[in-house]
Amino acid sequence: MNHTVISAKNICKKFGQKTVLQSIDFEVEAGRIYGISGANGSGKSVFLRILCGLIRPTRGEVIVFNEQLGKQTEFPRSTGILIDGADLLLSENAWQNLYLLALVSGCTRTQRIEEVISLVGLNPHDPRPVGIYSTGMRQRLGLAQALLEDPELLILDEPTNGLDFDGQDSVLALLKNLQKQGKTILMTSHSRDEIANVCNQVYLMAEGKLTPFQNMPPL
Amino acid sequence: MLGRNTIMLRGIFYEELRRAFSWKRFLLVLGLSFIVFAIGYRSVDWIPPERSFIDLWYALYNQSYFIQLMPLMAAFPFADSLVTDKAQGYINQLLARCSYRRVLQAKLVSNALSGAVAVTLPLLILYGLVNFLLPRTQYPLNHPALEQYAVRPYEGLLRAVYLQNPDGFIFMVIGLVFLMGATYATFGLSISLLVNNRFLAIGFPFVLFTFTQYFADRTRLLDWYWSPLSSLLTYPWGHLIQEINEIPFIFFNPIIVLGTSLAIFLLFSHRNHVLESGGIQTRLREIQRIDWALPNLLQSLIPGRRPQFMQRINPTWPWRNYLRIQIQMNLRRSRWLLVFPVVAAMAIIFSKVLLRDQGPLTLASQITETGNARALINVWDVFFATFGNAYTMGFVIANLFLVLISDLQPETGYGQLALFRLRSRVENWSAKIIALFSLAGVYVLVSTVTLIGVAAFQMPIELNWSLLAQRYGEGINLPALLPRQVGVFTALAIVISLVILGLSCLGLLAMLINSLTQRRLAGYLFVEVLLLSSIGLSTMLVNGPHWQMVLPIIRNLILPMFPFLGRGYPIWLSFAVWLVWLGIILPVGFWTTRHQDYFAHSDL
Repeated sequence: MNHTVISAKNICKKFGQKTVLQSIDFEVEAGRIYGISGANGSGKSVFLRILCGLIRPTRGEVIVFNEQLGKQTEFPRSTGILIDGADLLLSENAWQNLYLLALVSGCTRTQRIEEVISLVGLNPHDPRPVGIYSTGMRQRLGLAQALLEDPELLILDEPTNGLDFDGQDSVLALLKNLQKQGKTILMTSHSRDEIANVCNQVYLMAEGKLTPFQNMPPL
Repeated sequence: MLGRNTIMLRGIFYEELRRAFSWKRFLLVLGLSFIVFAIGYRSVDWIPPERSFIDLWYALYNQSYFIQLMPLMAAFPFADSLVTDKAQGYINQLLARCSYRRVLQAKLVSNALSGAVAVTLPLLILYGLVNFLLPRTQYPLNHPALEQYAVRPYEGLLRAVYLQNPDGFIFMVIGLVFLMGATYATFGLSISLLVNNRFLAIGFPFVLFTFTQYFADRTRLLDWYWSPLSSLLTYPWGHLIQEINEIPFIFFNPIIVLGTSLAIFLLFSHRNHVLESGGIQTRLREIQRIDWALPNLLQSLIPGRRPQFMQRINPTWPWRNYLRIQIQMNLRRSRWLLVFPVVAAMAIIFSKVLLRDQGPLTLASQITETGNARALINVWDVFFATFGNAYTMGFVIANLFLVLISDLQPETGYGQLALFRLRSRVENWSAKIIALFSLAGVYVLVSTVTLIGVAAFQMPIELNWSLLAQRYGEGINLPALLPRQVGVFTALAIVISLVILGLSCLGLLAMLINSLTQRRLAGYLFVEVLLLSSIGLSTMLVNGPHWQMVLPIIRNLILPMFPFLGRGYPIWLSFAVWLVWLGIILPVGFWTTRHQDYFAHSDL
């Protein structure tokens, strides 16, 4: 039986007078891929950031791997995140970007850095700084850093953003493969294609509310 | 984000102008101007009450710090737009709709106009205010009571215009401010072609302005027409125009600065250079990719160098690694190279001043100190003179440090990824604090070594106080008795530790404000204005009660009790003041970090 990885109860977030999220209840079970779709500014990214511990909810509680964020832990364990596009150190090369992050997490080997860079289709020995990478290459590297510590849970904000068609296909194939390895994935996307093809469960974010989407509209 | 149709219909010039005249930044500049004028108003109360509207207007124009801050205010509205547009990808939106050449032209025009208007608008409002406060019927022009005060130009062509056509004089000055505002804003934009750094684009015009002013007005190493103050018709600093043939020289400074800016545009504005290579910084990094067998520590400081010394990452010290990365990433920014020319220039200036002023002392010493091998002046005098000068501390030393550490907060996207791995907000903040103190230490020590190194070309390095220090400690910005009470290295340790502590506290406040506002420039601007205001506040508190002496920040960064040369309270009191600062800022910082939201940069 699948166990619950994320449990969010009654999540509400206000910025000043503006309510961005209102009373969201949400659960994620292990080994499945969840997708959240919604218009720009609907609150998807804010919601993901709350699940990551980067934004504090105004009300409600988030439990990830049986630990309540903000009380038992500040950030969830064994979780890889891709947020804010792929905001990397533009002056450093791909390897160095991941190496510095690995130094902070302290739970990987330098060999693993090369593995994940190769896994997303980049050259780990490329000496060029990330600043000259295309948007798609940066996005791939962002995905690589999310996979760096081989986490059980992946929270990905628009993981195929900026990728060409082949790139999108390969990333989606990678996500399916990761699911087969038992990983749990929560992602957002604007593309109905992606959501329909990859996700086991789809939600729609609109006006600060998250509703399950049982039947995807025809493509 | 603008829609395609909007740009197509209204044109790139309209859109860039609309962005350049964003009310938020203009409001900030206006607010800053009137804070400066308000402080200036308190410090011009020595002017007799018979003053007319032009006397007050011109006194505020000269005596407040408006002119000194003018280049910063001119560059603030839009000079960093190219850097931010590139960082946010907005430049691609523009380039999809019109040519690169048009985008640059639009930026150039919008930036120059917004810079010029940003600095002239406060002066125009001030003109209206002084006319309201001092109506011409009640406060007649040219009252002789003011002649003995340094308010009006005392001679030359300017005096005639000032007395005969005051409105014409004011609008002539405002016209020149308009020109200088446009010039220095353009210079800021041109800097952004060389470096991908918005702080340099906004701050470098100010640095250039301050330095040419120092060299031309204070040290007289450059002729008067190099000084931007002469181009702005200021008095008593600047140059009073004596003859008609001197008038063209008023335009010397703006022509040189504008010419330099346009040369940078011609040489470095090629599309590939600006959009693809990432500017000079990337090229320098490519040059730096060398395969020398350097020690591990040095290897790790070379950008892009893969460390081979650590095959397996140490799992036990995430916080220590996080701290190391914070310090290393900040120190590797090319802006740190600014420390060397800036400090070297200060060393040259103060060395020249000390060498110039030693004449009378030489004679006296020859009479009384025969046989004494001690030098009249030595390198330590340059150090104490520089680090004890309120203006140098406020405008240069502290200012540069605040620029260097201004991006420790808010957290970048990459920083958030690191924080997420660290898994503790408190550890993150404590690492930031220790990184800040370490950077302050590195900054002060590097500055000290550079200063001593440059000064050593002109005077000896000794293990003792110089004769000047022993005879006249106040001449090198030290309390008079200090050289007789402690050794030179004890004094050095006192000054260095006071400056490190002070800069760390100011940096901490800037970091806290950045966290609260989620704006990188906010903390820097707030603390710098606070610091510069304290110079004015020191003057205002000259006759204030005893307990107010330690209130102005600047008095706790330097040993003299500015504006006096001596010191009216013990040195430990300044250390205590900074400890009180820490006692307040540290808990607030920890509380803030526990409740802070970390947003995507695109949302800020």
